[in-house]
Amino acid sequence: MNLDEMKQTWTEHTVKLDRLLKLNLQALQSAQMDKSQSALNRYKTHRVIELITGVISAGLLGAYVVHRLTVPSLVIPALILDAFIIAAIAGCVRQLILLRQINFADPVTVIQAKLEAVKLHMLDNSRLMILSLPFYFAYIVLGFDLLFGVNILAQGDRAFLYANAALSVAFFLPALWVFRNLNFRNAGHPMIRIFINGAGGKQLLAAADFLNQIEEFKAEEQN
Amino acid sequence: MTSPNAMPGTAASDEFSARLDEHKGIVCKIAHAYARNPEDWQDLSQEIILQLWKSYPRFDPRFKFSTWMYRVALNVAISNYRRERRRPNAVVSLEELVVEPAAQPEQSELDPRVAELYRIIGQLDELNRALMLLYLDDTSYRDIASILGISETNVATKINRLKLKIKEQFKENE
Repeated sequence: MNLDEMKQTWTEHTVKLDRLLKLNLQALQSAQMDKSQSALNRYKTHRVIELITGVISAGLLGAYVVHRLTVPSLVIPALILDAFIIAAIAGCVRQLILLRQINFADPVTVIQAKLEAVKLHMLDNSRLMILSLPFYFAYIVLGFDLLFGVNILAQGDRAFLYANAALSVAFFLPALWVFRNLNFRNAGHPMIRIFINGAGGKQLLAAADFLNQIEEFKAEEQN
Repeated sequence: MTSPNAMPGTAASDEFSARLDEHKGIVCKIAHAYARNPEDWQDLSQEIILQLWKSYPRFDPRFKFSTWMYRVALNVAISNYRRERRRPNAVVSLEELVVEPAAQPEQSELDPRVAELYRIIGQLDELNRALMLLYLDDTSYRDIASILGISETNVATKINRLKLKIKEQFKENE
């Protein structure tokens, strides 16, 4: 078969299909009821739950800040954690906006890129978690205060505090590197690939690879 | 989202039905090209028609119906293809199928030349498969560009590449 025969065969196939196909639109009503929970709705539900959880956490931390306003050694760690929660909330809002924008009648590359970006939400959360790693001591400070009523920054052993400060500093540059590079465009980098796989497994890797494929497909090619 | 009141029998649904009937082959060909196995095409056809039906209230009459239909059908087919797990509630009984089973022959009953065509198309990645289907359907470069969201120049370049690739495949098979 050559290309002309291929097109001819396709045309004959189209004519045959038009003649043979019968549509049964009466079935749509029951089918629609069967499919009330679409994949997109599931994503929306997850994001809304995340958003509510984030807003509640940010609110509780805000109340904690107000309660400890006169103690900077407790307020600052709480504000640092609040900043990360607010960044996560912003990510959720962005996702919900993206999900609202999905209209299957838009161009294929546009919609497919948006759908894959929705799947990559876990990657955004992982980036935030990695960036928060050098600030891990903020969790310890808040934990000690909330659980034992101890201000560890004021009362803790100096050597213990310095050791943790050194560890935080040591984490800073690697965490910053991962934060900056952990995106779908770098999915070919072996280290980044390990991180993407760790954040969401094969599905996330596949989404990152397909987004790269879409970008490549959209790029102008000159022969 | 379509209101349940706008079900078959109303003016809107009659209009949709008539337009869909005119281009029903598009649904079948796209479903066949993206179904992971020959049995899946019916589920996919139904999913495409369902999405067309839901999207129809937002159809802009300034555009060609077929262009709009290609966009919706390809988007549904590609996202369905990429979804690893199938939705458990996507399965309906045979009586509820939107496209009558007798309308589409099974893979084994296909004309061998058509089966060969689908095999060639199936070897392409999701986006080039869409491009190939549009090319075979004699869609203009302008419409292909609008459906896929790429430039006309890019369409021309990619189609030339696809033609070369297919020619080489034919040569290898001879």
